[in-house]
Amino acid sequence: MKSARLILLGCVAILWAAVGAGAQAPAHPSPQALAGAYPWPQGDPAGGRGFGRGAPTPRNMKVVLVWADTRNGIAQHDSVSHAAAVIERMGYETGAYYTYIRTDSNIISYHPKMTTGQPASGGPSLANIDAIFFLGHRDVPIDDAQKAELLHFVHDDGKGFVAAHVASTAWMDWPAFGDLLGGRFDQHPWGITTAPVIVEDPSFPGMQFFPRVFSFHDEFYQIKDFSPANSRVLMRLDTAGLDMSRPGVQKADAPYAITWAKMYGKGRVFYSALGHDASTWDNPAIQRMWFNAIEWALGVTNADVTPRPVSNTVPPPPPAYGGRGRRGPGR
Amino acid sequence: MTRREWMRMLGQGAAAGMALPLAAQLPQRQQRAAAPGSRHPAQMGGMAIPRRPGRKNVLAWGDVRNGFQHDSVSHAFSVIEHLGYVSQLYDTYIRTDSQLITKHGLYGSDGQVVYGHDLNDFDAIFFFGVREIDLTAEQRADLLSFVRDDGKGFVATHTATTAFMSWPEFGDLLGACFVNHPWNTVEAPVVVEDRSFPATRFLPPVFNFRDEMYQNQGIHRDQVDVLLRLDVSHLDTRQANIELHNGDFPLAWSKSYGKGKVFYCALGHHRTVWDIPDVQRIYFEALRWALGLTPGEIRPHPLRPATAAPVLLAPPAAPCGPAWALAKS
Repeated sequence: MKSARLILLGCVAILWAAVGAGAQAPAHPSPQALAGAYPWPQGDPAGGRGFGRGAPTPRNMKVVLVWADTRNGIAQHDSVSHAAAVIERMGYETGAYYTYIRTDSNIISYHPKMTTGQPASGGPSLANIDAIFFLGHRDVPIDDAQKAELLHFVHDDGKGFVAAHVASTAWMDWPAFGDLLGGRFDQHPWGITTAPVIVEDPSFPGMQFFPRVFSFHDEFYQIKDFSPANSRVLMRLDTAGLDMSRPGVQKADAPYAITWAKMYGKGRVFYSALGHDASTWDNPAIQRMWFNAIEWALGVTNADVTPRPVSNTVPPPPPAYGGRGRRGPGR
Repeated sequence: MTRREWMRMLGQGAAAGMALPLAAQLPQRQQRAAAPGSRHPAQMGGMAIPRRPGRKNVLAWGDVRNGFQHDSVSHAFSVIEHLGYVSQLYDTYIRTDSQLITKHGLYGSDGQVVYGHDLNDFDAIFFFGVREIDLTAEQRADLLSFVRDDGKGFVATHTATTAFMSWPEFGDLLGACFVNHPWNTVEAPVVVEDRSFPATRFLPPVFNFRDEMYQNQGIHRDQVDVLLRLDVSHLDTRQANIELHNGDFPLAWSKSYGKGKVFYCALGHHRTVWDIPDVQRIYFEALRWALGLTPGEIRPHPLRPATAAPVLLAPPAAPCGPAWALAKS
C-alpha cells in the first residue's frame, strides 16, 4: 500500500514537472490545451467509493452546500444543475468534501425550518456546513434573520463562500451582501463572445493551471462596485481584445475583474464570473479553478489574498486569438 | 443497449464528462426539433429558454424540506444528471423546491413572472422527495395530470413512498406506500421477477444486495409489474409483520397511471449504491422507458420464486479520482 502511494506521488511529481515545462511555452494556448497534464489530488482509495462500512459521511468530512435558489428573477440559467452536479462530483470522487445540493433556502439558517414552520429534520444548516457554493441569482427569498445569519456564517464563523457567474446579480438591494461578495453585476455588454483573459495572480491555488493570458469563450460579466483595494484580483478581462465602444461598457468598471478572492471578516470569499454555459463547467482548467477555490475557502489550503493594485504590465498577448483558442473552452 | 455499450458509455462519461459520440449510436433515439411541451417565446416574455434539439427534459425533484434528508439525495441527482449529460438523451433540472410543479406559469415569491421551465416543458420527473411536501391543490392536480393525462414519465426512488402519505391519489400514482425498514441496512438476495423489462433485463436472476431495504404496502400485483423482490427467507421476519405481506416484499415495479409511465425502485439509501453500474443502469433504463425512448411492457404477474443462486453485482469500475476530468479530448 505504502509503495503504491509512493509510485502515485512519483507520477504526480512527473505530471507537475510536465505542467511546469508546459507553462514555459511562449504561446498562449487555451486552458484546454493543458487539460491532460493536471494532477488531481488522490483521496483515500475508499474516499467516496468505498461500499458500506467506513465510507465518508457528512459527519466526518468537510461539507459544501451547493445553494442554487433560482426561484426569483428572470435569469435562470440552464447550466445551474450541471454546475451543481460537477461540483458534487469533484468532491465525491476526490473525497475532498461532501456536497449537499439545495435549490431552496430553508437551510440558510442555524435552525432550519420546514415549510410548516416546524424545526427541520436532518440535512444541511449553517451550523453543520463548512462552505457555501452559491449559484443563486436576483432576489433570493430569505428573510432578514436569515440574511443576518448568512453574514455571520462567513464573517464571524470564518466559513467559506464561493460564488459563480450569475451570483453577482443576487440581492442588488442588499448592500451588506455586496460587501461580502466584493462586486456587483453590471450587465454583459459583450454578450457571449471569445475574449482574452489575464491571470493577474498565478500564485493563487488553481490559477497556475491557466496560461498568463488565455482566450476564453463565455458570457463575460462587467462588474461594478468592485475595488482592487478590497479584493485580490485573480483574473481580469484584457480590454485590448474587447470592443470597448459597445453600449453599456462602463469605463468606471475598470479593471474589469472577473475572478477574485477576498476576506470577509474571518471568512474566505471567492467569485468568478465564468460559467454561463453548461459546457464551461466541463473545461478541466475551470473545474480545477473551482475545486481549488473550494479547498481554499474550506481552509484546506492557504493563499495570500491581501489586496494589491492591478499590475500595469500586461503579459504579452497571444500571437493570434485564433486557432485552438478560438474554439477553445466553453464550447 | 448491450452491456458493452453501457460500460462504454459509463467509461466515456468517466473519461470525458462532455459530448459523446455514443448517443448517436443509441437505438431508438429520436431526433426532434422542438418538444411539444415547449412554450412559445411569447409566453415567456420573449425570453424562452431554448430546448436543446433531440433532448428530453427531466426534472430531478427532491423537495426534502419537510423530512429527513438522506445523504444520498444530492449524489443521486448528480448521477442522474451525469447519465443524461454524457448520453445526451436528456437535460436534468435539479430542484429541492417545488416551484416547477405547475402548469400555470412560474411566479417568484415576489409575485413576478419567473423565467424558467414548468411541468409543460418536462418529459419526466425523477423523484427523490420525502414525507409531506408543501404543494397547493392546483399543483397537486397539475402533478397528477402531468402523468395521467399528458402521458409523461415518473421515476421514483427510495424515500418516494414516504412522500404525501396523507394524499391517497399520490399512492395510486406510485403504487405503494411506505411502512418501515425493519432490518435497516442489510444484505439479502434480490429476485429479479421480470427479466424482460428494460430496466431489469440486464440483471442476473438473483443478486445479493446491501442497502436499507424498504417495506412498502398497498402494492397490487394485478396492477403493477413487480420487477425486483426482496427474498426475506433468510431475514428475521418476526419484526417485519410478515403476515401482512404473505412473504411478498416488492422492491421495484413498473405501472401505468392513466397515459403515463411510472417506475419505482427502493434501492438508493446509501450514497455508494448510486455508484454501482447496474444500479445506475436500472434508473437510466427506467428513465429511457418513462421518457418513451424504449418500449417496455407492463406485465403484472403473481409472485415468482427465485430460479438461481444469488450472485454479486459488479462493483464500481474506477476506484477513485475524477479521471473524467482528465480527458484529452
